[in-house]
Amino acid sequence: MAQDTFGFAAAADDSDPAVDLAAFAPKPKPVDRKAAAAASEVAQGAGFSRRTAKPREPKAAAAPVPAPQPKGARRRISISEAIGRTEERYSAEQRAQLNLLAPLPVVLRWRELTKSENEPAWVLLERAMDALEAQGGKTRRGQG
Amino acid sequence: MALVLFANTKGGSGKTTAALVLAGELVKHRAKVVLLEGDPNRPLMNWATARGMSVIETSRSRAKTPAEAAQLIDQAADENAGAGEGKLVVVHDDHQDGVFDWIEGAGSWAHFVIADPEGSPNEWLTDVASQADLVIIPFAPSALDAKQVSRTVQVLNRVSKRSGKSVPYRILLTRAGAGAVMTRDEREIRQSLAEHGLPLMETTLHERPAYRGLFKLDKTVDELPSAAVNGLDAARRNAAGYLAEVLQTLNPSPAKKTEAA
Repeated sequence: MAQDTFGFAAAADDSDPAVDLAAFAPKPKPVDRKAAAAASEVAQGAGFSRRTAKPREPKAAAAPVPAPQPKGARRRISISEAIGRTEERYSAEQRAQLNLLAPLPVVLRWRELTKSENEPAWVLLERAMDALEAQGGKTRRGQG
Repeated sequence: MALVLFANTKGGSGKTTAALVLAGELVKHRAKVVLLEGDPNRPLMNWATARGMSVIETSRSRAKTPAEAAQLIDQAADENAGAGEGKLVVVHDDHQDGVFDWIEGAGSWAHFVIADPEGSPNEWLTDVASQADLVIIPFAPSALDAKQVSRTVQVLNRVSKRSGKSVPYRILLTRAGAGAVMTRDEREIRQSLAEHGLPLMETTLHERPAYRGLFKLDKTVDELPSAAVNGLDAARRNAAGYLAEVLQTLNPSPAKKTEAA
């Protein structure tokens, strides 16, 4: 085996040398408040911009919410809404949004139905589901 | 833990690329790194998100104390560990309010915090500079960029003078041609920096396809596929030399070379 007098064999070693991380071990780095204050003064003097988060507006104290005004004088009063029957069944925290994309005739039919029944939409949906379940899963498909 | 800030009051100076190259090289050597981003354009957050990493965005996760910040960083590191990214956490906070909490909080987890501010005269930059162990001022070899280096150095010197705390800095030439022939602008700028005793790093981050590929392919230099990037070996050597010089500057007399467990 040839002698490696000049150490040229090491030239073929392209592995990265290990990095000494001991000097950078994680440890709490307390903020130097004096330096921070000095930096702030210098930055303001130099006209540097400051970007801060908008403070969150505190929520107003729970003021009584006025009852919504009926849209028309002919609006009927819903007994179930008045006596809170529909609200009692489920707590307010258990609500979620349900969005449906449906054919226009179905949407119009749904609107007409909710208007004529004068019930919250979810109540009608629940009634429809109850009716379907009562039929034992038999459903009538749309015509057309 | 060491805090390294990339600072230049001008955009397009190569701050984010230089920060990401350094972070990638450190992670390759098993260091734990927090990339603290103050740029509202969110290049680092977008880079991390594209990799499927869990990131901390302060509009959603505002830390009110360093302990809360530390907890959020731990959480993100744990989530990223599942995807093999456990050594790197990206925090985006472009407001002054929480930046000190992130620096303090990161200390309990990270070996390095690398801060990348917006390329503009802003207080996020000076706030972090006041706490930094090293400020690197990247600039491209043009007269426009060189003038902004002077401005950044002036501000750092004023902070040092007013606080009585040294703010060590180095100037890093970026986006210079990798060829043997130096442009006249580059030669004159180098000469002027030397005449004024300003500390230019020996390493130059050259304009290379590999560095452009970091954001194109959402990789680190180490991860880039050689088939997709020209001159990758040269870029890797360049990045390794850059890391070595940064570490040498931060810790001039390293004792025994060992890797963290």
